[in-house]
Amino acid sequence: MSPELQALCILLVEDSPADIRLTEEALLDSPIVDTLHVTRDGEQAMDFLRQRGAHTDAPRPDLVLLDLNLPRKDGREVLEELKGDPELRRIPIVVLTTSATEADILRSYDLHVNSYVTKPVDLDEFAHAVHSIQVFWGGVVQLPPS
Amino acid sequence: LTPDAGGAQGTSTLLGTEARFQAVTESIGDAVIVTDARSEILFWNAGAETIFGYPESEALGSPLTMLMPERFRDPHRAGLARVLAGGETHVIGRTVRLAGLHRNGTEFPIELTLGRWSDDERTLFTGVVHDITERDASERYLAAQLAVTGALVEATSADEAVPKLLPSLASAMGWQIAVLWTVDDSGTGIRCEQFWRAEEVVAEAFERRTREAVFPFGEGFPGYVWKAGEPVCVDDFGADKRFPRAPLAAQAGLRRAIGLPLVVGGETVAVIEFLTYESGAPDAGLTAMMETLGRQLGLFFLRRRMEHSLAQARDELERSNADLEQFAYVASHDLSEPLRTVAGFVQLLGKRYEGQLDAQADEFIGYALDGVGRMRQLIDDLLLFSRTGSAELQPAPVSLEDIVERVRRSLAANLEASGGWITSSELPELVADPVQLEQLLQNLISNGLKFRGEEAPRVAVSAAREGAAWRVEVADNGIGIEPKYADRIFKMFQRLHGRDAYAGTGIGLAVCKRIVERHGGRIWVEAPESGGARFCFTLSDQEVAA
Repeated sequence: MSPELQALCILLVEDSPADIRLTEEALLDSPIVDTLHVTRDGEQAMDFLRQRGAHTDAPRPDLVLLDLNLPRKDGREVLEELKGDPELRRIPIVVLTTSATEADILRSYDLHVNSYVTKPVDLDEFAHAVHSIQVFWGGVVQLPPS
Repeated sequence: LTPDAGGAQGTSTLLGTEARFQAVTESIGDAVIVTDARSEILFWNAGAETIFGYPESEALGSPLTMLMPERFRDPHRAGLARVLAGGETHVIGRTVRLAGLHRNGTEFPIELTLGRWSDDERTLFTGVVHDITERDASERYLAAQLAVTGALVEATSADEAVPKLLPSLASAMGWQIAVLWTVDDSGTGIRCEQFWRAEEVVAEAFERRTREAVFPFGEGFPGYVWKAGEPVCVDDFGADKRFPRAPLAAQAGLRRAIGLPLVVGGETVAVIEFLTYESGAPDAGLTAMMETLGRQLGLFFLRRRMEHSLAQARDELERSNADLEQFAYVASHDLSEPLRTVAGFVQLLGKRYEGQLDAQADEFIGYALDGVGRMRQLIDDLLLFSRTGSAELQPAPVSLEDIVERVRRSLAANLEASGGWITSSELPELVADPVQLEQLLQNLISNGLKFRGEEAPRVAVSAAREGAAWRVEVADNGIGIEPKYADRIFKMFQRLHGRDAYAGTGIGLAVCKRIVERHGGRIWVEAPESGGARFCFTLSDQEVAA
């Protein structure tokens, strides 16, 4: 891993506790420790990003990992809202979902998602995918200055 | 002709002329009739008596209109008035087709040639009438046969032909109304499927009643024909008390009814009913024609019935296939979610706690991981199977050699580990969906490598012309397949071996079969004497000629 890798502040928007846990495990597995915040539905995610409701003290994340199928407000709506908001649209969004359907992939890119990752079934592959996201956004990419 | 016309000399000249005229007219078979301007008959020859049935004594002095069916009388009077007023002279000297009315009330087709002349003070008309019943009938039978044959030949389906059949048949015969009655599926009633009438016919009440009617077996004219099972002709339908629609038919001037049952395998499936202004007993020609027609149309309705049941079966099959695919797709997607959770945590357990619990715990985790792996494979294969059926085929020219080379590369690790090899010889270019063709060969070749015997696995791919198709063979030197399982192996989830001997979900060959069949080909397996298994499939020859 490159030495200049920086720890990220990540917002994970995911409703399945099992998937939250697996993502945490994968992130914990790596030498750099990111800050991971979790919201369980789309409404909460918007509150977090807009620092409203229960999240008035929320930090601005470097990266959002977004599931598509969420209760209350689903990931597609969250994506559309974020990318339509001049204040928030610079935050990179990675869709991390089980869906591999063409319709979901195209729709997400049409809504200006930064990248789209299908969750692998295998744990090691999943961990690898999460690490790749970490390395890419925490090392390779120049993030927008906050 | 007219004794009081003209002077003495004129009379004698006329008499002389009349004698000659009489001699001529008596010797010909046609009717020669002379009338005055009021249409009163002044002259009547023997031919007229034969054709119309009136003796001269009865005919002379009678109105000409008694020789025409009711519906022609008013038009005749109006036309005569126009001619006398100096218009419409074009009817004079021409031959026209009309209907005549016999003394016994029957109608028959005639050809009439009209002449007009004057003596000193009067306008007179001569009509020469030729009875064309026979000629007309044979012409009409021929036209009717042609109409039916034409409708049967031109239509691509029976459904398309039926609506054209009635009008062409009825107009060829010169009949006014044709109705197609079909027997209900339950076989309890017969109802109107199609009603056709010639343009000039006014029969609103009759049509309405016909369209609404449902007749049980034996009732009404269609029910009567249905019961009779053979062509029926009713000479004066309008006056027949057995039939509920008779008064309405009479109102419309319809006289004769002809019913033709369409019999398929001994069972009447439909009745065609014709109504016409004509009356009187039908001749033998008509009866014979009806019988021929009944047989011909019966076959036709058999075809229609088969087309319908075929279409129904196809629709059902398509629906159930689509349902199955939809089910497989949704099930595998929805199964993936919980599987990921199970797989993830079992793996985590194994990783983190292996050797820290007891030996049994490690064994249990091992089984769980194994199950998860198989389930994953099953879901992937199911998804593949459903995509193979639903994805749109995109055929393009492809080199079979290139496809085999790609498979060879994708199986490189396998080949190295097993010491196996894949040979191919003189493979043609085909037109097929490249993705599916590769999937097909990938499955067949990897099967050949998987079901290996003691020796290093060897798979040979070859192709040969077979009629208009290519026959491709994938032969291996493996354990072979007993002929009694030759069909079973292509079905979903069918496996011949325990999982510990050979891994797999039993979907691969079902996918192969599906791919080949979607390309219009056939797949089967042979057991060569030399051992191993030989999978063969055909691909119809859409080979790039251009």
